[in-house]
Amino acid sequence: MSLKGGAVAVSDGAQLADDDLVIASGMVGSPAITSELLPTGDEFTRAFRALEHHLGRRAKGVFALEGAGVNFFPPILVAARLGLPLLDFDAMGRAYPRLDHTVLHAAGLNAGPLAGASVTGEAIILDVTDGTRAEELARATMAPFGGWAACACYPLSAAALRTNAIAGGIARALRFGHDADHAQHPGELARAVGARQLGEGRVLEVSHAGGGRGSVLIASQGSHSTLRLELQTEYLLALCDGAVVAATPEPIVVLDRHTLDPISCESIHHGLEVSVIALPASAEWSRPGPSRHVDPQAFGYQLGDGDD
Amino acid sequence: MTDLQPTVRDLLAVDALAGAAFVGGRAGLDRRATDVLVLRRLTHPVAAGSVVILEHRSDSSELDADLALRNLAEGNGALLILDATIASRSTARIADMFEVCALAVHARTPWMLANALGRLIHAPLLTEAELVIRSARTVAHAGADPELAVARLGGVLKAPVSIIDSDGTAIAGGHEAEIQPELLATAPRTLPAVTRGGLMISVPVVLESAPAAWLVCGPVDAGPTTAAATVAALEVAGAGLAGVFAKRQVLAERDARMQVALIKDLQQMDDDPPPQLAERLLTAGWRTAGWHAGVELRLPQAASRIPAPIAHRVEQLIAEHAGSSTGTVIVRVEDGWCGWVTSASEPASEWQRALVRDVREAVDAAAPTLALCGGVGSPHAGLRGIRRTLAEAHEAWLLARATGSSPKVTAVGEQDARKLLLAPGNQLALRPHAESLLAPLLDAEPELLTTLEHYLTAESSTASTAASLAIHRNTVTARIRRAEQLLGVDLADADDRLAIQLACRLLRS
Repeated sequence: MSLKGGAVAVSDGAQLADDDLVIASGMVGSPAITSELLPTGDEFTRAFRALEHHLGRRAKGVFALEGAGVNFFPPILVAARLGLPLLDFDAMGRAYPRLDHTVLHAAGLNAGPLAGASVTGEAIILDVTDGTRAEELARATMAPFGGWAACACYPLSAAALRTNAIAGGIARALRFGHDADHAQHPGELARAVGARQLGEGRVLEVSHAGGGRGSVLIASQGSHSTLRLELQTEYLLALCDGAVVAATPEPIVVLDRHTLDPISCESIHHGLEVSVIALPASAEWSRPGPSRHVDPQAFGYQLGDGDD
Repeated sequence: MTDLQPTVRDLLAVDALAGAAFVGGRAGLDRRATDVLVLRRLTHPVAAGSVVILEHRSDSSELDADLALRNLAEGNGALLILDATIASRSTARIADMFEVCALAVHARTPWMLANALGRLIHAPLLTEAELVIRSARTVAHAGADPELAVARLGGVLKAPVSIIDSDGTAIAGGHEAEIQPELLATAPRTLPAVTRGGLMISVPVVLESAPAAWLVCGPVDAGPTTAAATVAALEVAGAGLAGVFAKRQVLAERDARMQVALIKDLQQMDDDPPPQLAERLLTAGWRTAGWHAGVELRLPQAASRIPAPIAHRVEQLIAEHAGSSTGTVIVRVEDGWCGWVTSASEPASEWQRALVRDVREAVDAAAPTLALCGGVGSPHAGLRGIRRTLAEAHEAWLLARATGSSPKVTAVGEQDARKLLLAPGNQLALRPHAESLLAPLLDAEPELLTTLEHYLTAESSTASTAASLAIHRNTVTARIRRAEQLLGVDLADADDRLAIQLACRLLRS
């Protein structure tokens, strides 16, 4: 893999000593705002360096906070700029909206100390007790930062990373990209990446309830079925005619039915012809302990008889 | 589950659901409802026939609606009632797909709604009893006014109600929907409405052990429970209305008997009328002041009866035709009518002729197939005048009956010539004179005689003659002119005209 600034070495981390420091890189806030408040390019390295400075140690590798979406790219940038190995690990195995939606948080690892850097040249350190507080405090700084900031978080030992993080995200993304390039139709793509097809049709309605929450209705072609997607920055729940057919932590992916391009929650709109697939959830999320952090109930969806 | 077990359609008629909006699933309207539940959310299949009211909370969402509907459908439930804020297009589509009704309400009081629906589901007879009592009260409070009764009954039954006679005509209330003849049966009937959805429900209104009319309600969008309750309510209302009609009938018969007796007493009174006669006339509302022309209109055979609709129409037409008069008294007797038309001041001779023409037209228009004969008396003043003109009208009627041909209505003034003609001795004696008078026509062209007869009968109207013979009026004019030439007479001359008409009649008799 190469990038302006230097080639990036993708590593499985085997060469790192157990107590070597590794740091996650990503952004917090709204990805949509980056199209108006453009990145200067050095926020991610500034955040990374700020955290190193705060810890008084240099990191030996960088990994991804999220294994999908916009946050797939900051660690690549950091690895290229700082000449660090890009570790093929991430904390989510997919995309989620919060800093505590990670297998690392589920394993009891702290997201902090966390460093944030903005396009204004400013930086902050949040010395927090866990991922939930990191999320709350980081979220509170978003407005003065203009809506988004680069962050460096989850400073871990290489041993903790290897034990707890989700491995192989980069390899999988490259494979998916390759499959998507060669697939002729959504079914073919789904088969290639081991996904289930949930439905195909035209977007009937998109409603946003604020705070990134919303829903999408898709009228199936060839039947009277209706697919409902519930979303909170990410697609989290899919129901076909009132029956749940896919749910977080399974990644639910909406594709343009003709181009097979992924369609994000921000860009989906009425009239689009889409195909919806669900990828298998990472094995790390399937264990009972971690799954309660990201199951539908964690997002406020009551699908059972819980006495809420 | 009984036949009385309500369907969703029945539940929709419950007042508590009056403001509910249909979200979808109309195909499920006939599902039977067996129970009603109030739930925060429905995440497992319910028992068959369940009606679920989804309690609305601050965190309720469209997702809850979809999940509930799916679970309701899987359990073969009957109805989902949800808050309008969480009813989405997917709810509508799922409801349609599974054919389960979904209703949106704005009420945030699910328990009150559940109570109202539960009453119908668990105690349908209670709802029926309530409807019956309200209907009975409605008819009782409307007094003797059937129009008011059916209007209010329509409010109670939430559908148009009318009283229909055996011809399908509305006696009270109006019906836009078609009334099928099958509805007018001897027992209550429930039929699907013809032109649009819903049911037409009828019950007979029985007078003297036979249906005299029908109470018809509909179209009403009713399930079996509502339909049964509506039938029961209409039966009770029908019994109440039967009482109203029976009372009317008794009063009308009493009035009619009184009027017939009064007419007879007037005809038979002597020159010195008793004082109580004037009082009875006053009570009947009959004026003695003014000039009166008697009218007698009856069938030739005393035993026959005039069908009620025809009688009604004749009365209506005579009343219309007597519009230029100050009053009309027309009393129905067994085989026709007797009475008089009043003018405030002494009328001109034209007035009587117009009256004769009007009565003729009334008879022709309303009863062309009946052999009704009529007599009209000449105008006379005051109470004694009534007696006299009634006697003249009777004489004229006897004469009309004796001739048995057109015109069926004669006036006393027309009688002199007729008497002359119709007396059996005179006919024989005058016939040779008539033949010789009309010989030029008999020898020449027979159609001239026919045309002449019609022309004279039609009071010298070229247009009427042309119409009755179906020929052009110019032809009539030409033929009359030719007839005058051949006969050597001038029909504008009264004496000539009388002589020729007499001769024509004599020849035909």
